[in-house]
Amino acid sequence: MSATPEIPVAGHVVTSRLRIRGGDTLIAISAAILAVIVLVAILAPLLAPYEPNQTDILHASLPPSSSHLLGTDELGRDIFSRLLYGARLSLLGPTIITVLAVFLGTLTAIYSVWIGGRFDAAVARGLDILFAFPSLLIAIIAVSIFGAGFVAPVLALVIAYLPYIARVVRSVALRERNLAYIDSCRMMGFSGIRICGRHILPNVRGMIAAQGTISFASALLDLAALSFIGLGPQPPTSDWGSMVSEGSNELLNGAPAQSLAASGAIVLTVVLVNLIGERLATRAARVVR
Amino acid sequence: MTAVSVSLSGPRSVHLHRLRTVAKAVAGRLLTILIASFVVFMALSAAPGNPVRLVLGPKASPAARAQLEHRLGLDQPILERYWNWLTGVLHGDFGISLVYKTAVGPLIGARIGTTLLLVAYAAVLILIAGLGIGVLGGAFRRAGAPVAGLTGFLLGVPSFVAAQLLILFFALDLGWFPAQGAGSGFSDQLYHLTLPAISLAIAFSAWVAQVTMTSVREERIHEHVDTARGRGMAAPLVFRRHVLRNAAVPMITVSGLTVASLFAGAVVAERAFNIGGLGSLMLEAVSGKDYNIVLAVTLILITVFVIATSVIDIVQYLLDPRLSKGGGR
Repeated sequence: MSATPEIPVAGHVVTSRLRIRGGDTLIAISAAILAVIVLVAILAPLLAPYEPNQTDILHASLPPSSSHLLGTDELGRDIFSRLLYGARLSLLGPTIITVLAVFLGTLTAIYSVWIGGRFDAAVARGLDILFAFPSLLIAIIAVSIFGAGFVAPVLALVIAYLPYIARVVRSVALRERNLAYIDSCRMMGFSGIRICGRHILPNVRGMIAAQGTISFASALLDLAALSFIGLGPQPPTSDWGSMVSEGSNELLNGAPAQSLAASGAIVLTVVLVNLIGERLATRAARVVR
Repeated sequence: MTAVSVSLSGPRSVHLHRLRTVAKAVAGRLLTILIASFVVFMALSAAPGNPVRLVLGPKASPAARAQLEHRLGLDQPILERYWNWLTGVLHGDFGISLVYKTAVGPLIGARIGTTLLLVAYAAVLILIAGLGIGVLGGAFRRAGAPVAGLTGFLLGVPSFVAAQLLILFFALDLGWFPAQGAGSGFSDQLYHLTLPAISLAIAFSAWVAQVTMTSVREERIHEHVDTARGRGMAAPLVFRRHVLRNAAVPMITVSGLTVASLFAGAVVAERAFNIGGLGSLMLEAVSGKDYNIVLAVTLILITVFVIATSVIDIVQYLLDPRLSKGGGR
């Protein structure tokens, strides 16, 4: 691994730098806010003023005040504390989905492109079949088999997002594989693993980063939707999606705080992640051209 | 349309080749649905929890259990069960619901109308708003940035979040629309489904608008557009003939995919507005382990998805005959 390849590899240097340029103020601000959100999720036990699941019937359905920033829900639980704790599952789920889908999707795509021939055709066909399932549907089926909760939807969405990653990586890897430098690597006797890992992978890395980021945003939306329809983490545990659901009753009764706060958290996070993903995508497209 | 007439007047071999391509495409799609149904059937059969136990309760006698198992065909080998289910479906028989204790077909029939109306309503809104805003953003340089900002934001607003805001403002504050339920009778249903359709339409419209704007912009900078302008052609005509026409393929693709995804999205919107449609039936079935309903709804959703993507392919091909020549490239 220490020996550097003798041939200059175009694109390698450019894609490996995901640095923030001076003009990208918007991206820098987005990243900073996201960092704060992640930090809040991690530090929730320190920051939350109340226990998130502690009910207090005497102080139920309170409006926002200085002692309860967002008020309390119908069981007297502090909504602000629940929002902070809710950030944990709301962010952990999409993170697991993205990491696993990117890893497995990239592995599938590059391996299949490298082997080529019938194997590649079969993999492409399999991915096509997976595409026929909307991601929410896969998750709903998984829940009907394994039951509602955190694990089943997350694993199901890994399967649902894998083809999106694999398809993007496959198209770029396919082009790379047919370039002359890969042939020259083979003639120098490099192993397939080395060529894939050190030459093809770095060139598709920009695309992977972009697609992964965008997947994170849609995974967050899908998981929140699943929690909203009651298939996610079960009470008393809650994430932002189930908070919107729990809050929707209160909203009908004239207390919209819980529903709106959780909604705002979802929208803010998704919009910021999408902003960054879009920027990564345009950058990756520029490098490929 | 020109593509079709050319193909008909072409040599016989071209004709045959085209026929074979179509046959291959149709077979591939059917195979996709078949494999998908098989996988889901197997997965649901392997699920933990015995449906018979769920229906009869844990105290039922072994004889009663065996009898129900036999009646439901659960005592047969799994492949045979799949075969029976498949042949049943092809005859319009989706099996029996364990929870409702009636045939699945009529249960779905009673609910699907509401969902179809909701999806159609949302689709119309999406096409008008998405394509309209997208073309606007692509056509006018000054509209570009605001449209990009707006769609970027709206893309992050899922239907159930939009639902909360719509209920809060238009149902509770202003009282213009009902907050819950689907209503009865066509016009009343349409009235009830307005907010649900809008909630579904928001994020999808943003997506359609983004793709439309990008493709229109990419077409605008081509040289033949400048040439047409240089020839003295009126700007609106140039835009219609040389920009919009070329941008149509991605616009249609994204519109088709949107309509296909709307059915799955309807599950969430129906929950948000308490609407008794296909989605709420599916959710009840999931929590009640009513697998025949889950299977049937899944099959419907997948078939809709596959049909929609096929329609996209056909329209693309009609708009741009070049796409057919490259084969599966």
